[in-house]
Amino acid sequence: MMDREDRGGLTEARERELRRRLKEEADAALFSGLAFDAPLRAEIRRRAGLGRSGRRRVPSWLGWAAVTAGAAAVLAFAVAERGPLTQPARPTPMAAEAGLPEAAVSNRAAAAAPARGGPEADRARAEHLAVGASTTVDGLTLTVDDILLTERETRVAFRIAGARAPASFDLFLVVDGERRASLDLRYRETGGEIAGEAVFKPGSLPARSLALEMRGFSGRIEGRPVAAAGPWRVGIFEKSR
Amino acid sequence: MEPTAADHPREPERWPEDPGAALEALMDAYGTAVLRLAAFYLRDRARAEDAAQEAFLRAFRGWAAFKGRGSAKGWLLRITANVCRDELRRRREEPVNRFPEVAVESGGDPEEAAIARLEGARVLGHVLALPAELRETIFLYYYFDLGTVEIARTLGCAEGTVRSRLARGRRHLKGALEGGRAR
Repeated sequence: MMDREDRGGLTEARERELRRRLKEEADAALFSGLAFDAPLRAEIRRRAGLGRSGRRRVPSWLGWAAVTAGAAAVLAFAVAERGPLTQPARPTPMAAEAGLPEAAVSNRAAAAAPARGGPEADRARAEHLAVGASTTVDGLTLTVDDILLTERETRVAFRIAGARAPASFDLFLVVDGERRASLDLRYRETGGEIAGEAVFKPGSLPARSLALEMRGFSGRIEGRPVAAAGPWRVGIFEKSR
Repeated sequence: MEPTAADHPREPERWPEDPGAALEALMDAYGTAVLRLAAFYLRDRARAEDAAQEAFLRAFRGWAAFKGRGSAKGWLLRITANVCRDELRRRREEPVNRFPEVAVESGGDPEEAAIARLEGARVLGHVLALPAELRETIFLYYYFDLGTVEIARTLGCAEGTVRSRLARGRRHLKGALEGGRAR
């Protein structure tokens, strides 16, 4: 960068300290929890018109598009309880490789998992799934776009079709029948729907069954006020013995 | 200190020519840096995410002209800064000396949480208290590791102006680094 210049009375060592402490303190105080996450990437791809010809990823919204178009193949598994119509995305060979028989694992998982880097890649035994499964109750459709499973936490990217911010709702991860509340829930309105990410702890590995459940939605769908108790439960996978 | 994503980006040895592939590579390498720069300017998670989207879309559309020549990081962060400054101008907002809400967390008051996190962050506190043009320059130089030429192009000013602002900023921060009050 620059050597011969007015350092404002700072020695080189002080300047290095300034850089180090500014990064350290800003990361901890200003940018804590700010993540360039899966929903954001997916939205950028969608707005760029990418997806089918992406370099190495088939974006998760393809699953959603297929569902809304009524073109998704129906899988044999269903974690959903009575009532909701569950439409998982089509199965792929990745399902068997991941040890998740008939789970809704998209090609994106196969393509993306080896290429993922950063802290997520460092997490032992991480399983990265993209499901595209959805459930519709009372005219409200909840879709699971993307899931990252680790032993420490589970991150789920989701969408609520036609929903506008602000909205209130609770999200739960149902692990082997046990319901867990989300520790961190973030969403934004984008492209005429709500997209967000929920974090659940502890992680969900190993688990035999997994589902995302939403309860108590209050907000607007396609411009009309909606207040419904739900639940909306989307089956993510269920391992058979 | 744990290295940040901005310190060790996953930048490819050679940028792809295809804009779609380039977009993926840019998001891999600089997604976090772009989002943080947007949050630095806009101080709001939702607006920062919108700005990050817009910045990557502009980069995607302009990739054919850029083609990986020069510093992709500098180019992308320059786009991001322009998006944010346009947004601030459109809303007729002036940069302020506080960050009411950058990282929104569930539960609790986000502003109180942000203030709590700022406690003990002495250098950061002094940087945030600088006049807007010094704060912006100091952050681009020391946090985002941009050079003076890149900063000048980003801010639309002469490189000499950037150097002058850096010198003034350092004088302000000298006290904070030495344990006393900033001047």
